[in-house]
Formats: sequence, structure tokens, C-alpha cells
Amino acid sequence: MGKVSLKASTGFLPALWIGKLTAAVVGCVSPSRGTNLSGKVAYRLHERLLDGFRGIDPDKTILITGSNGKSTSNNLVVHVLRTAGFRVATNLEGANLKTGIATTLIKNSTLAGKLRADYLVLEVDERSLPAVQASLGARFLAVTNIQKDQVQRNGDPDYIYRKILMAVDRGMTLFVNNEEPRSAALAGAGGRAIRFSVAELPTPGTREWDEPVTMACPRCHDQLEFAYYNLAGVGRFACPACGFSSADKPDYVIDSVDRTGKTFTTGGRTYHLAYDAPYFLYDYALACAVGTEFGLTGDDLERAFATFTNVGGRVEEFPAGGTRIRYLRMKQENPETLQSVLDQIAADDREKILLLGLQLVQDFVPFYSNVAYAYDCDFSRLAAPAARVEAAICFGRVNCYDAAVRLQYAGFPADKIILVDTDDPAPVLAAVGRCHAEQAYLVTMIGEYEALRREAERGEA
Amino acid sequence: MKELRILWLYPDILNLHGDRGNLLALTRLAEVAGVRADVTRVTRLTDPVPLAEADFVLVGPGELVAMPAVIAALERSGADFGAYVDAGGVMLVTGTSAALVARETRRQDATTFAGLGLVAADVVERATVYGDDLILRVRRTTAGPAGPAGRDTADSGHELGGFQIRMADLVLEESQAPFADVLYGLGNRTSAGTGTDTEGARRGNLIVTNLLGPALAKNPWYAWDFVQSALTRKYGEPMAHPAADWTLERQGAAAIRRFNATKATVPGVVNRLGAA
Repeated sequence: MGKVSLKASTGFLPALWIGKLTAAVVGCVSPSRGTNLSGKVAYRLHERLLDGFRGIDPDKTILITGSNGKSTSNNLVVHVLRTAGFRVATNLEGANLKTGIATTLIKNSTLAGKLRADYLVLEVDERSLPAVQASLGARFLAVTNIQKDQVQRNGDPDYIYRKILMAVDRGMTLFVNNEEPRSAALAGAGGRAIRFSVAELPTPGTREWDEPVTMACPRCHDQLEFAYYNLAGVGRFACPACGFSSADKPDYVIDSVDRTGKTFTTGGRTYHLAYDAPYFLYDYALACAVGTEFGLTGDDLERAFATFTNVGGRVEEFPAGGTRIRYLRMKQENPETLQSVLDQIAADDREKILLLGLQLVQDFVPFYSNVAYAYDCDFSRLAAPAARVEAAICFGRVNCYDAAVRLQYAGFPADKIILVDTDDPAPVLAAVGRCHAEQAYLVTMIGEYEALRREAERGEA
Repeated sequence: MKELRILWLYPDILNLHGDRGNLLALTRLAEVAGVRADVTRVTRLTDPVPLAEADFVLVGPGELVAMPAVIAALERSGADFGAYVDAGGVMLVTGTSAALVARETRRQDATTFAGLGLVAADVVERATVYGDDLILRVRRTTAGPAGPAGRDTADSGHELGGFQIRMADLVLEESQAPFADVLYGLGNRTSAGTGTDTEGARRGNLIVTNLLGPALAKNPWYAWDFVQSALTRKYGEPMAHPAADWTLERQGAAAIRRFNATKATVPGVVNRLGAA
């Protein structure tokens, strides 16, 4: 550890110091910009900045990557370690590209570039992982899942699988999701694989939608079969062609969940569960696995889970007239997150309004209108009378029509679909006001949620 | 009752961009037109491919890494897709699955694999993905065999909207007819790597295109032409136009057209929406 080449060290310290100065200034002037900027500035001065830091112990460094759940998993692992009394350097704010990671290291190092922490726990963007790992040499890597995500950038999940594989060597210990096939397929790539798992959950309802599809086996590319799903694309799987499957005896399993009592059980112990959506359970399972492998006890985990609060949690609610609007965050071009929120809405038996804003994809130029990921999701349970959806309000100046078409294919009656073909939040809230249901679910991106909330607060004031 | 037999090839393996929507569009159109849609899924790579019974073959986009296994399975199956297409059989191949029907695919690591060679084109994996909207005008063509009712191809003259996730470029031989002209988006490439203003490939009623969306759900008039071509081939006479309401789809297409007419684009992207 800690061997720094001359090329890496030349110019490192001035870049570090300027990075620290930038961090201090940004911290005073605009703290919200502090997650990336100092790293960005320092990188401009020294392109091998990450190579220059010292005192990073590979045995106490874990990188957490994957399509979904890496922020929450990172938050949980950090909380578990900090509650046990360790100093942890991390990027809790989700700045997971090289510049964000550089910012974390700049803020958590001495003037000589020596890390001031017992553990380094980093959420890392999948595409940045090979470069980050080449610099940091972590001995531990956790892969939450590898699913369809940001297709404009990634194309297909195999692209991400290959990216992650580039970062893995035989000296590493991998934490892999036993029920997510691509993550599980990485198990043989490292020196040791630790499988985290969640036993079959009670399904939110029978999923009998039109023409269900599974996925290709990541090993032999034949059709993969699932015995059940805990999440979209996550469940006990097997490939009849090559035999690749979920392990029968994973290393860490959440055996049962009590949603009423807010607890889960693993390894014979019961722990507090602050967030009970199925995707959180995999984050808890991973945190149990990492904590235990890092030497923590059940008591340590119990203390940590009892006090865990997720940073920037996904559930927000605000009033608009006589309606309470609950925001469920989704990621564009990511059917698994959209399916998760649809399942949550369907599980609520109250009368409700669905506010659906499948906006333009505006990550980088060219912006575009992809809503195809909605066809990878099951809306049919929301269309059924039992779901008690009074109206589906499709909003957004370009994509509202395509969203409405998707709902019609799911069986939504045309007279229950309201189109609001604008990005202005006022007409959207006006449409809510014309409905009767006291509960509404807002499914859109965070920017649209914030605009709607601001508009609602103006109306309430 | 007339019947439309749809052969859906490997829907679990070739499953990248909500392609189930194309099947939903076909089955709904058939229902509206009073035709029974019968869907046969070929799921496993060892399953038989009952091509002789198909009126329509649907092939969605899949991961390039899976293509050699799928091609091998199709070859093992003994299904003669060339004869099917030459006999006017209707087939839609979208996105990366062009690799299945092209002559050869070259990957970024310089490895190559041969496809079925149904179109005179090669596929070249791109160094970076390109995702954007794609708006096309289907070309009129007299290439390929005449259909039973004198229609030469699935359709001609339509404007179609959708998007593309380009993992690979299609490079046509000079003799190969493209599917459409590009009004907005990234077209086929030449063998020298330069862009063109044409998109996809067609051979008779085989259409190869990067148009995703799902394309048939977003453009039901296009889906209807496929259904019409397939049923005309089978029953010898065209069907009456279905009494379907496509208002939402037309409004959606118009909104996306307006959005793309003025948006910031990147070099090499065709934008003729102002002139079209």
C-alpha cells in the first residue's frame, strides 16, 4: 500500500492544496456545490490526482457500485461503521465520479495527502470504477445489481458488466447480490465472493401482465428463468441451459421481514428496519455482510440500524389543496426503479391519483424523448379497479402523450387519463384539484417534484 | 375469423428497450381489425423455430454479446429465413439485432462474427453509444418481390418517430436498399465511417431499423401496414382499415417533431425537420 510513483507525486501537493483551498471557499460560499468542485479543480491541475493520496489501506477500503441502490447501501455501510466508533471517509452526497471521489479524499486528508480515516467507503459510478480502482486498489468491492440504466450512456447492461469486470482482480473480495444475475455472475472473477440475499418476500400482488419477459443468462446468453421476484429483475434465478443460478446457501440472508413491527431477521437476530420497501432490504443485507466481514458484531449492527436515517431519502410528501401528494422518486431509463414505485402505489388500497411525469431525458446533449422503459414495467395492476386510481394525470410538454399511450396499453380507461401538456406545475396542480381523492402519488424526476412542491407551497401560503 | 400468427424470437434474450410494446401494438391492432392474433414465443435457444407457420416475425434488440449464440441457434433450427423473406414474409428487426441478419459484425475488440446475411450490410460496434430521437420517412421502393396484392413492401411514404440507442452502425452495400430517409437523427454509416442520411435496410418485407420506441406502439399506422402486408400475403386481399383512434399517438409524434425541430444537436446528426 501507499507506494506513490514519481510521476503521480509530481505536482500532486500543489493540486491537493488548491483543492483544499477551493473546498474551504466553497464550504463558506456555496456548500451545495462542495461535492465535486474542489476535486474538479485539483484534477485540472493534476490528472493523476487519485494516485497521489497516501495511507489508504486496501483492506479497509470498499467501493460500492451498481445500477441501483448504491447510495443507500453506501449510507448504511458508513453508518454501521461510524456507529461502531470508526472514522470513515466517504462521499455520502452521492458525488460518485472521479472528481467527487477526489473531493472526498481532499477533504479527508492531511496537507501531505495522507488519509485521515480508519475506513474508506466510496460509492462509485460504474463507468468510473476501473479508473478509481486502478488508483485506490481497494480489496473490497460491492456490486448491488447490474440492470438497465441510462441507456443513452450505457447502451446495455453487458457494457456495465464489462466495465465492472475490468476493475476486478483475483486479490479482491466481492460482495454480490445472490438474486441479481449479472451481479451474481461476477462472483467467480474475484478471489472470494460473499453473496448477500433476501429470502422470498410476500409479493405485492399477482403479476399477470401481458407478455412478461425475463432476461438473457449472463454466462451462456440463453433464457434465464426466475422462480420468483423480490424486485423487478431480482429474484431466485436459474439458467436451464448452463446451470448458472442463485446460490442455494448465500452467505448473508435476510430471512424474514415484519413490516408492521418494522424489523427484519438475519442470522438468528432481529434488527430495526427503518425503510421497508423491498429494494431497501437488499441494502440492509449488504450492510450486514460488509459490517460482519469488517469484524462488527450483531450488537454493533443492532445499534446502527436502530438509528439509521437515509441521506436524502426517496419518500417526500406535501399538501396541495385537499390532497396529499406523495413523491416516489424514479430514475429515467431505469425500469426497475419505476417498477418499484408502481408496486408501492399498487400496495396502497386507498383511492388515489397517479401523477405521471415521464419527462424528456436531459442528462446531456442531445436531449431526447425516450419512454420505452415504461414498457418494461407493469402498469396493469394500477389500471385494475381494485387499485382505486381515480385519475392518471400525464404531464410534460413532450412525453405526456406517450405516457398516456403506455397507460392505455395497460388497460387504463381513456376517460381516466388527464393530459397536461406543459412543464408548468400550476396546471398539473389544477388538474389534481379537480379530482376528489385525498391521496396522490407523484412519479417523476426530482426537478419536476421540486417545482411542483414549490408551486404547491405558494398555493398553501 | 382471420388469424395473424406472430413469431416472437427470443423475447427474453432480445429484450433491451421495452420491446414488448411492439407485440402489444400488433395484438391490439389485430383485435381492433377483428383478426385473431396468435403469438408463438421462441424462448430457449434450443427451441424449434416454426417459421413456416409464421405470418409475422418480430425480433427485438439484444446485447451484442448474445448475438453469436442467437445466430447459432437460428442456424441450428434449420429455419430458412432467406426463403421466407423472398416469399414476401413480413419480418421486423430492431436495434442491435441487425447483427443477426447482417453479413458480419465487427466488435470494438476487433473480433467478428457472421450473421444470417439476409441483408447486404455489415454491423460495426461503435466506440461510444449514441442515444437520440429518430424521425424517418419510409422510402418508396420497387426493390424486392411484389406482394400478393401488388404491394411491394411493408409500406411506403410514412413518417415515423421514435428514438435510437446506437451501440453499432449499419453499413450497407451499394446494392442494399435502405429502409428510410432520416428527417432527424443519426443515419447509417459508410464503410469509411462517414454518416449518411438513410436509415436501416429492407429486403422485401424484411425491415431492419434502429427505430425504437417501441416503434409499433408509437406509430400504429406503421404497425397496421405490417399487419396489412402479412394478412394480404396470407389471404390474398387487403383488410379494411381498422376503426382505431390514434389521436394520442399523432399528438405525441407532433410534440416530438416540434421538440426536435429546434433542439441542440451534435455534429453529424441529420435535421431536416424544418424543410420536411
